[in-house]
Amino acid sequence: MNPIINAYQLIVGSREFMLVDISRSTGTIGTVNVSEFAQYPRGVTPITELLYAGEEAIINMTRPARGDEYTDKLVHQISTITICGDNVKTILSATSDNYFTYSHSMAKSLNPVFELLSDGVYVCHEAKMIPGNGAGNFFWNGYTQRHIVSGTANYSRNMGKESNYTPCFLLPTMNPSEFSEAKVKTQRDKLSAGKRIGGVALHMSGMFSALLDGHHSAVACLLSDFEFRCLLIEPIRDMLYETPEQAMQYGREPRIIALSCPYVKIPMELIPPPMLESFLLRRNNIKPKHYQQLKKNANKILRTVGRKSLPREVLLKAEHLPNHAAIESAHAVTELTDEQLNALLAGETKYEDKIIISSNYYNSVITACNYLQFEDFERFLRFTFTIIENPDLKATHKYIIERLCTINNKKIYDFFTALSEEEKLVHADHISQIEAYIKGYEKNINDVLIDKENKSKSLNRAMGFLGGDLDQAGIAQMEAIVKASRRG
Amino acid sequence: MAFESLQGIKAYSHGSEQTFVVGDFFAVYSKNEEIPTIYNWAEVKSIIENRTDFIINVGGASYDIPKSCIPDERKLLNLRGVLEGAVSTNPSIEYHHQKRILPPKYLYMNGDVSGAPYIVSGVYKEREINFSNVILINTRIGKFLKIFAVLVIITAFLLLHFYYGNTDENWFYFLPVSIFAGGIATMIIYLICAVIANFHYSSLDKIDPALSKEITFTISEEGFSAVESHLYTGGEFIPWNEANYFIETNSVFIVYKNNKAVFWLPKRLFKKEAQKEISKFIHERLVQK
Repeated sequence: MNPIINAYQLIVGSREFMLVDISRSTGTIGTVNVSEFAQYPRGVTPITELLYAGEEAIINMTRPARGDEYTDKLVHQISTITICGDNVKTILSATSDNYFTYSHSMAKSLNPVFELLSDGVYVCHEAKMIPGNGAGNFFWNGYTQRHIVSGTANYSRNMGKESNYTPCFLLPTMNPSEFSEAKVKTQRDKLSAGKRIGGVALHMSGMFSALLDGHHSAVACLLSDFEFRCLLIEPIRDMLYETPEQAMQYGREPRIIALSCPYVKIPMELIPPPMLESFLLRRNNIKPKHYQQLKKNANKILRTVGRKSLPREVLLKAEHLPNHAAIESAHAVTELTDEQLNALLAGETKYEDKIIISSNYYNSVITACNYLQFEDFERFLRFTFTIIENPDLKATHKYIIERLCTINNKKIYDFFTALSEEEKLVHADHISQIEAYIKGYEKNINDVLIDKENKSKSLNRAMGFLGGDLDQAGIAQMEAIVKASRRG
Repeated sequence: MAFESLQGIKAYSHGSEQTFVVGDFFAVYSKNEEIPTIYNWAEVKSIIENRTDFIINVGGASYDIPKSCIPDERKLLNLRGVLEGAVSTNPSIEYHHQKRILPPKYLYMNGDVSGAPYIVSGVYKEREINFSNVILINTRIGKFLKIFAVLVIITAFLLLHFYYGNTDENWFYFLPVSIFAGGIATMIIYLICAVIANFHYSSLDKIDPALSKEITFTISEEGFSAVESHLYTGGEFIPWNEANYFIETNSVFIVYKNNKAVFWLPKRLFKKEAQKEISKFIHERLVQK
């Protein structure tokens, strides 16, 4: 039986997207609930969801027992999508290339992927993704150990259920041991040649999406300071209620008014009736063919034998990426003018008799930092430096300095260097932290420089040995030889 | 959480001119409207199943889904499964249903069955259920029947004594007559019980379409289940620790939960040796009464 795919182009507010209804698909890729309800008393079962591709369980997301939809989840990677069949790998890779490199339409590019997805209604759009784990680390090697990941809760308390946002943080579906510098180089060359590159991602939970294809593109974009964009597929699993105020107008209890996914809330009247009916009739917890196998593998840990460390530059650059709190704040705050920031810097929480962010000054500063770091990094630096220079705002210094210490940046280094030389009493409590940052920064810079120098020396030697110019493939090959000789 | 993979059901009620969609959500399309009113199951206050309808009370409204609008019995059982699955996930929903032989599906849990479970399929037979019902009634009123028989014997003896007198000479006749009267009276009560049991089954047969369908029975380390074969997924069971005790008759094992018989397992579906194993298996997990 062939899958039935119905797609509609919709615009809600300023958000344009494709709404797709898939039925009778092969169900090769999807998520499945594998919670062990019978092992726990009723109502306190940890809820475990798996991302699977074919027979492979790829990612495990577990909401702890007694957790609710605002509770962050334990996440770990189980396996890699590359071993679940060439067909899947080829289709996903071709989709990224067709859309980003060859500029095919979204519908045409994604159609083969729809045939792989489990039955359901999906919102598809192009989105800017952040190749981080929401905590200042690169995403690819961030989930080999099981841990609670901030921002994976179904809903954020700060943003609520009504906010529209892009689930921009990434979960890898490829083993870090499959990292290849040559592939990154190929992608970077594409960027240098003015071509677009990107990936395909499937929303998992909260602010996180699983990157189905484009791991090397993500590295390339980060290294080349390009935005990493993905074709993002968000399954619609939820409904949005009207607000109590809206319900009051009709004199009734709040009712469901829209289908909901992070990117957009689609009012019922915009959804084609057959699609809505199909959505209502479909059950979310249909078990895939390999359910038992997937369940058996749910708690396995990813084997990373022969794992290659990602380039230091990638890890350093990842530290600049906004964390989940910054994104949350960016969605919680709609705008921060310079006048409002000046009022905050003057120790006020109100501007023109209106609360700027919150009546709590400390919370206001934290939220403003988050918002600025995500929206405008230069303003963020100016704002935080001004706060640190103001002894009256000492209560916030600890947080700001800790925050700045997580970012590897020349301006912060210069600022801290100047601060350490001033030796003002107001910063006496934080001086050790500042000095540690300065030392760390200097060490990182040296390491990167030495690394680059060594690499170029080796290549030069190789070039000299061969006595001629090398093409790109030759350079990649030489790099591999140099690496091998180092290991030897 | 249970029976969440059963297909959603759409039903049109000619009486109220409403279309209902029962699945992960409960949706109601009123006459000529394209946008339904959709409810989350957590909003539903109660579900009542009576002989002819399912009545769903939610948010000040009451929706009546006539059973007649789903002519296919398999789909009707599917609808009942979806509703009871929703009750399992949302225990705040009050659920009232008619008597039945199969365990209600809200008692089930999702889980993995380990080891080698006993899985058999078959249809319940009227005789074994009736017979077991009579035995159950006897077990319940057995002591009272004995006392009743003794009382009838004594009463008959006294009546003969006062009516005919001269007991010293006639006791030899009075005694067998009294015992016979006691026996007859007890037999009549026993027969009444049998008729009641039979009536009980035939009334169940009329109201519960599941009784005439093939049932898949499972006994495993984790629990037990009796589910209509067309709804059976293999991943749902009632855990042993939620049952209280069991009764074994000549023809069935009956497991009780909260003093209600929830699981009837016909012995004839197993070979003699397997019957013994199952009896031992259940004995290890539940108290026999």
